[in-house]
Amino acid sequence: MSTVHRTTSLLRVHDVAKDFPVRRSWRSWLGREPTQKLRAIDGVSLHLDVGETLGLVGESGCGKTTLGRVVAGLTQPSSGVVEYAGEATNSLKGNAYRTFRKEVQIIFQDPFSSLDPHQTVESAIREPLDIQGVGTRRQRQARVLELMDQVALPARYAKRLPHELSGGLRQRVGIASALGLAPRLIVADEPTSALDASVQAEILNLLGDLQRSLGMSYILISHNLDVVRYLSHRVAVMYLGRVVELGSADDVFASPKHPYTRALMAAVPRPDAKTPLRPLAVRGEIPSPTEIPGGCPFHPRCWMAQSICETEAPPLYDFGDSHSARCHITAQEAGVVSAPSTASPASVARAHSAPAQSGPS
Amino acid sequence: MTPLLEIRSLSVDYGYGAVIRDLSITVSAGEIVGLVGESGCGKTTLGWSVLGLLPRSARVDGSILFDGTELIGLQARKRRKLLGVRLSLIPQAAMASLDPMFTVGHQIREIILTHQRGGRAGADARTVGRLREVGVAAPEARLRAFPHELSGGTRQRVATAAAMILNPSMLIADEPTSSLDVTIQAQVLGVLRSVILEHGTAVMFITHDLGVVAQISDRIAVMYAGEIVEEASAQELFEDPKHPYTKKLLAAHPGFSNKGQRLATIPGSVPDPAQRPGGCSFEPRCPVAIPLCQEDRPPWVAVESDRHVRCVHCAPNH
Ligand SMILES: Nc1ncnc2c1ncn2[C@@H]1O[C@H](COP(=O)(O)OP(=O)(O)OP(=O)(O)O)[C@@H](O)[C@H]1O
Ligand SMILES: Nc1ncnc2c1ncn2[C@@H]1O[C@H](COP(=O)(O)OP(=O)(O)OP(=O)(O)O)[C@@H](O)[C@H]1O
Ligand code: SF4
Ligand code: SF4
Ligand SMILES: [Mg+2]
Ligand SMILES: [Mg+2]
Repeated sequence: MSTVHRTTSLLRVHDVAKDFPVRRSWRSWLGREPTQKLRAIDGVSLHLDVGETLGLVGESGCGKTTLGRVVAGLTQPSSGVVEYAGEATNSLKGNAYRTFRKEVQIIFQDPFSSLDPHQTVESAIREPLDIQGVGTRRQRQARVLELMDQVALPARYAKRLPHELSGGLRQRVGIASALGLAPRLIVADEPTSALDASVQAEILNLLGDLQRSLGMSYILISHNLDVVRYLSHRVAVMYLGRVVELGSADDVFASPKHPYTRALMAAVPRPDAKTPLRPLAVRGEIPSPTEIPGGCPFHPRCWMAQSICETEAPPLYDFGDSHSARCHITAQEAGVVSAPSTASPASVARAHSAPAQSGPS
Repeated sequence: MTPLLEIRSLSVDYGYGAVIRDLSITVSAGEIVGLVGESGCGKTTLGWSVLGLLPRSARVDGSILFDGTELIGLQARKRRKLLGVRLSLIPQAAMASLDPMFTVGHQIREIILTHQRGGRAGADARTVGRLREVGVAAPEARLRAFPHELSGGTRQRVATAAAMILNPSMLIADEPTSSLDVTIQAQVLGVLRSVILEHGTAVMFITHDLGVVAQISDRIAVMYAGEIVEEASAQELFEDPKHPYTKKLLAAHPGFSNKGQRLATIPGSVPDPAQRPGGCSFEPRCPVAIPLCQEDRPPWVAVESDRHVRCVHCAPNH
């Protein structure tokens, strides 16, 4: 693990948007009214290096899963490009496409609806190995048991069906199947949400070990900010489909720039009964993603908002050290006058140091 | 205070050995009892036993008294009268609990109209109010949405609103906030708290989030391998955990470790319920086990007036 350079970019997401159609009324069912669009993600640009973990956090419904699915090629973006290992994923064909599908795996968010109810644990974990024709049947079976052991899934569950498993056991089945093909990139969508602290710790240790030994890269989607802080090198914070803050995990957690990020951090419940939760007052209702407010989309709820916020959408202001955030007022206060021309991923990449050399350090 | 829910010596076996073993616990009106423990230790099973949702194949022994009524073996007709109205569940699988074929509005309206008189408009107005309380954006429009069109967090909030719609006297909340971001989680916990205060609801709150359980619970029960191994007030538990499993569980919280440091885990795994050790269930993984632990099941010892631990080290004559 010595020669992984900052230039070894694995994934680039360029200005990606994804729309879903929504019905407003029975009239649109009948085609008498145009179907409205819901923009689940908008103008998202990110990059990920080999051996790096990017934490993705944000409000429920802000588009994290949608972005993860776009990255993993499970759904096509409405606009924008995803590049994996230097190639646009929507133009991959034949072998290149199969390699991509093998190298990029997803751990699905919902352990209850993501497993086939008729498939036993071992066959669910073996399936990707079978499809890719890895080794002999015997070797695949041995690999299944090895994977079960790695994710702390006792062997006695091998022949059980999903309905016979608890939430956390199912989640471990999903993790084991995603790991089977030793992918290079895993989109881990809430991978430990159904696990208690000690099993979660085993999974996080495993992900860290695999990253150090095999250089795996992760996009870690999680509402658990302690998990994100522990595992991520960089963090992207999303709000209503946009990345509103991006920076090294240390910087974002130590000095969050965007008011929404600050609200998130203030709402983390501490594991002791003496520190009462004092969430920052985020005013008002969460806007509907079909009616995203103009100007800064956060302005109706922001306690720092001023008039500029209602009219001008903030660009990703560069706060230095590859830390950027979409907030006019914080930028003014910090004396950041102009934004980078566009929020080009290259400008973020330039100053960004290579985390893969040390692993999580 | 007489407890609203009183579980005595409950055992449940799905056919692979007892996943709940001789478990007793009470919950009083207006009280929030947090339930934490190793994934797969039987928390959901415990909740389902109360609601009578276990599969027919499950063998259930013991007693579950709800407001004086024995729930084990209760006639289906009587049970239906209780479910949703007096006893309600926020299920762990919010997605699976919503019917993919029907809109959100339809499903909640059905709950209201099955149990109470009234018209569609009134039911919808009530639904919209509750959805707004739990932080669902544009609730009127969401009534027409199908479950698959909602994000995981919104589905969870819809399931929460549905469970609370008839103001039940007992609520079993199974991981009700694990798919929510922390700001909405704080909001939903706030709503739960105020509804509970207002109606004196008794709550069994199942969660893996040690931060959440510390914030919401009056009392916390720690489960391991189908048994409650420790019960204490939230403050006592986090300040001074007594059971070796509780100590290990709390130490595994990632907030206590820095990047690169390996997280503390518990070597070994939960015993197979079909081959449970004769003595303490935690013995094979316990760092402070003594020979006695292999022989007898440790007693349920009162350490302080309202605190209990199942460990020989807490027994008075030890
Ligand atoms: N298939 C779909 N059809 C219509 N709308 C959808 C679909 N999938 C997602 N959406 C909408 O897109 C938005 C983003 O959803 P997404 O699941 O990506 O959010 P998320 O950030 O993963 O949320 P959570 O944290 O709750 O899982 C939401 O408003 C959701 O309702
Ligand atoms: N229908 C079933 N048939 C057979 N075994 C089952 C069934 N439901 C649950 N089990 C088993 O019973 C044990 C307890 O499961 P339960 O769902 O109660 O755990 P839990 O504490 O809720 O776990 P989690 O925190 O992961 O949700 C597990 O070993 C599980 O696999
Ligand atoms: S730009 Fe204005 S409204 Fe938006 S986050 Fe900053 S202060 Fe708040
Ligand atoms: S009874 Fe013995 S084995 Fe069990 S927790 Fe206590 S010390 Fe450990
Ligand atoms: Mg999601
Ligand atoms: Mg459960």
